[in-house]
Amino acid sequence: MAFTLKNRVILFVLMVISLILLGSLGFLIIKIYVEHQQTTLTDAIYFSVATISTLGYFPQDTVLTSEVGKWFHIFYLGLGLAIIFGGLQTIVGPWLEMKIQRAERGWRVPLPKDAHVVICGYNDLADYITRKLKMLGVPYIVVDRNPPENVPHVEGDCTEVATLKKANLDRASALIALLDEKDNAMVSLTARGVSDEINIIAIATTRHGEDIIKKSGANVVISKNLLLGKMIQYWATGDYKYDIFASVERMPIREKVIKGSMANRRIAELKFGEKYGTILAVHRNGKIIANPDPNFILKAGDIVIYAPRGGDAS
Amino acid sequence: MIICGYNEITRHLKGKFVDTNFDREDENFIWGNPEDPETLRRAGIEEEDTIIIATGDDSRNIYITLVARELNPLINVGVVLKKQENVEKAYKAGANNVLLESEIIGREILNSLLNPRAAELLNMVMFSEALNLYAIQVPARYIGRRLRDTDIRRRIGMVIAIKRGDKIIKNPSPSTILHRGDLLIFFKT
Repeated sequence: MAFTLKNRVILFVLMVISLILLGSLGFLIIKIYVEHQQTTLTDAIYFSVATISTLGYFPQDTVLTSEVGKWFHIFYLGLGLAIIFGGLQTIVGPWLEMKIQRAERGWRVPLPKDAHVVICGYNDLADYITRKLKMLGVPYIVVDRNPPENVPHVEGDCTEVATLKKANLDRASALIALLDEKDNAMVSLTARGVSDEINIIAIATTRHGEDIIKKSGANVVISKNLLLGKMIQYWATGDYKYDIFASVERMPIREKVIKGSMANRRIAELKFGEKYGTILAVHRNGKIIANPDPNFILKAGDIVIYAPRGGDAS
Repeated sequence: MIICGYNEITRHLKGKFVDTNFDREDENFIWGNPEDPETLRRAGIEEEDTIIIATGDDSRNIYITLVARELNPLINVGVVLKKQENVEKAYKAGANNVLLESEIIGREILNSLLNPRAAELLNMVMFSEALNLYAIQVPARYIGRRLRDTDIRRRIGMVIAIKRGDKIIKNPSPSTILHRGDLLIFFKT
C-alpha cells in the first residue's frame, strides 16, 4: 500500500477508532471486574474521547478511582497523545506539500490560448507527439483524466464540452484524439459541436470505426492497424516505400500555395527546383497530380508539394 | 515469412502465422506458442529468411526475438514494439529492424497536422493503387554523371529518391553523381 495522502487519512481514522474502542474496553473491564461498579457503554466511550481529546472534564461516572484504573488512565492518555499528534503530523505535512505543489504547477505551465493543438488522451503515442511538437515550437494542451505534470494540461474527460472549453478548444487550431475508437468518435462529435473550423485528427483501429469517426466530424482518421500492417509488409518485402516512409520526417515535405506572379507559368520557367526544391506533386481541386512535367502550367490556388532544396544524403 | 501473432495488425500479411487464437492447423497456420522453440521449428524457422514478431506484448516479442535468433542466426528479424524504452533491448536481442508503433502512427499524425496535403500524397502511395512508386536501374550511359546533367527529369520524371545499396538517398540534390547499381525511384501515376 502506498502512503498517499488518502491512505494516510484512512489509516489515521482507523487508528483513532481503534484507540477509542481500546479505551472503552479497558474502562469497562476495570470498572466491572476491578471496581465492581455498574457502568454503561456511553460512559466508557465518554471516558475514551475525553481522555484522548485532552478535554479534561470527567463527570462522576466516567472516572476510574482504583489504583489500576488510574494507571490505565495515565497510560491511555500517553498513548492517545502519541497517536493523535503523530498521526496529524503525517497528514498535515503531505497535505501542505500537495497544496504548495498544486499552486506551483499552475504557475509553471500556463495553458496556451490560441492556435494550439489539443491532444485527447495521454499514452505512448501522445508522448511521442508532444515531444515532437515541443521541438517544433507548436503549442499544445494534453487533456486526460490523469495528465502528466510537466506539460500544459487539463484534467478531465475529453468527451465533455466543459473540459474541452477549459482547454480553450474554441480557439485551438487542431484536436488530436488518441483514445479508443468509441471515445474518439465521441470526442469528434463533441469537438465539432464546439468549433466548426477546428482540424480534428483521430486514430481508429478498424475500418468500420474509421467510417464512424469520419462521420462524427473528424477531418482525418488514421487507421492504426492498417498503417502498421503496411509498414511491416513493405519492410518484409524489401519495398523501398518502407525506407521512404520510415524516415519521412528526415525528408521534410512542404507545401506552397500558388498565387500572384507565380500563377499561370510553367514549372521550368519559375525555376521552382532551384528556388524551393523538388516538386513531388501538385494538388489541384482536391486531386493530386503526381510528377508534373516541367512544362506543366501552375494556376492560382494550386498547392505544390515539394521536398525542399538541400536534399539529404543519408 | 513467419509471422508470430495473428491479430488486427498482421492478419492481412502473407506468411505462416504462429499463434494460438485460430482453430485450424495447415501450412499457413501453425498452432502453438511462438515462445516455444519447438513451435518455431515446426514453422520451419531454420529455412525461412524473414520472421515478423508482433504479438502485441513487448516483453514477449523480445523473448521470441532471442529464441528466433538462436534457432537461425541468419534470419531477418522484424519486431513491432509499443514502448520506446524497449527498442534498444530488441536490437540487443538480435532484431534487424524495430517498428515502434507510437513512432509510425505519431509521424503520420504529425504529417497530417503540419503538412496535410503532403500526408495525403504519401497516403495515396501507401494505401491506394492510384499512385505508386517505381524504380529503375541507372542506365549505363548515365553512370558517373550528375543528375542535372542527364535528361532523366525530362524523359522519365522527377527522381524522388535513390536507393544505393542499403542506403536510401531521399530528395537527391541535382549535383548527385549516379553510381553503377543505383536504383532511381519515381512516382508512377
